[in-house]
Amino acid sequence: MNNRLKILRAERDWSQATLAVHLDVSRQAVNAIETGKHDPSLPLAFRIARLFDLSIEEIFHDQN
Amino acid sequence: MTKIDATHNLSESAPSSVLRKVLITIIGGLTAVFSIAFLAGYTVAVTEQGGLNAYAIGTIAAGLGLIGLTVFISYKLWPKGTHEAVPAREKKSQHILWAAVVIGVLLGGYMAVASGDNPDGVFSNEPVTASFAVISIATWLIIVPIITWMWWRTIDEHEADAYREGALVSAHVYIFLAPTWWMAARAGWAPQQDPMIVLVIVSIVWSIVWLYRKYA
Repeated sequence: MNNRLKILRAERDWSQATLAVHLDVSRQAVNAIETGKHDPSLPLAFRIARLFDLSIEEIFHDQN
Repeated sequence: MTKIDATHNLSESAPSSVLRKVLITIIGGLTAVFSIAFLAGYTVAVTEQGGLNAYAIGTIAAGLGLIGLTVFISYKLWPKGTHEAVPAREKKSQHILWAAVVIGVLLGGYMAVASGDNPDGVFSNEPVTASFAVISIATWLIIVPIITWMWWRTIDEHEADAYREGALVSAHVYIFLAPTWWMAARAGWAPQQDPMIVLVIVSIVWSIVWLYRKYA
């Protein structure tokens, strides 16, 4: 699954650690989501969407 | 380089520092436990065989020096100065893991001292005293499950996935290893199966997969 998390984070000048604190997950989790190694659960995807004030579809989209 | 790039680069390099901490803890801890075991066994043996001479004192001093050197090198290699914010969940998880490490070192140290002049006592199948067995079993059946439960409730979903994958791989290692060794022993090709060796192999595989999936 592709996502815009890295871009959204960069727009806010946040490090992975900062985003991790906002989401209450580890920095490794943020890194794994950004690089597509981990697909977040629905609850975490909703937390991410709420944090950036976007819908889930505006952040995450499938390969096609 | 823009400020955004700088913060991004910092965050990209940070996972390696965590992995470094984990490796230092594991290698340093094992070295310390084995050194304590050697020192305890050697000291008891020398004392029972007629007292301390200059050679024995030198050897014990070298053992103490090795422990000191391990602590010093670990301290020097420990990553410093990132000063990054750490999520509350991650802090709690780290505290629980440190508590587990401290309990492991204390138990390992106690086993090393209790095994006396047997340098392999920590990992042998030699008989132990009832009090030692009670302490070990109580730790394993009461304290370790509580710590594991607390840790499991603390970690985030990414780490839980990594841990589950480690469990899956190590379960398969067990399924293939245990019957193979059992059958090989029955055919006379291998010594009798030692469940603790199987446990150690399964645990190592579990830990490698878990840490690799979390940090790599």
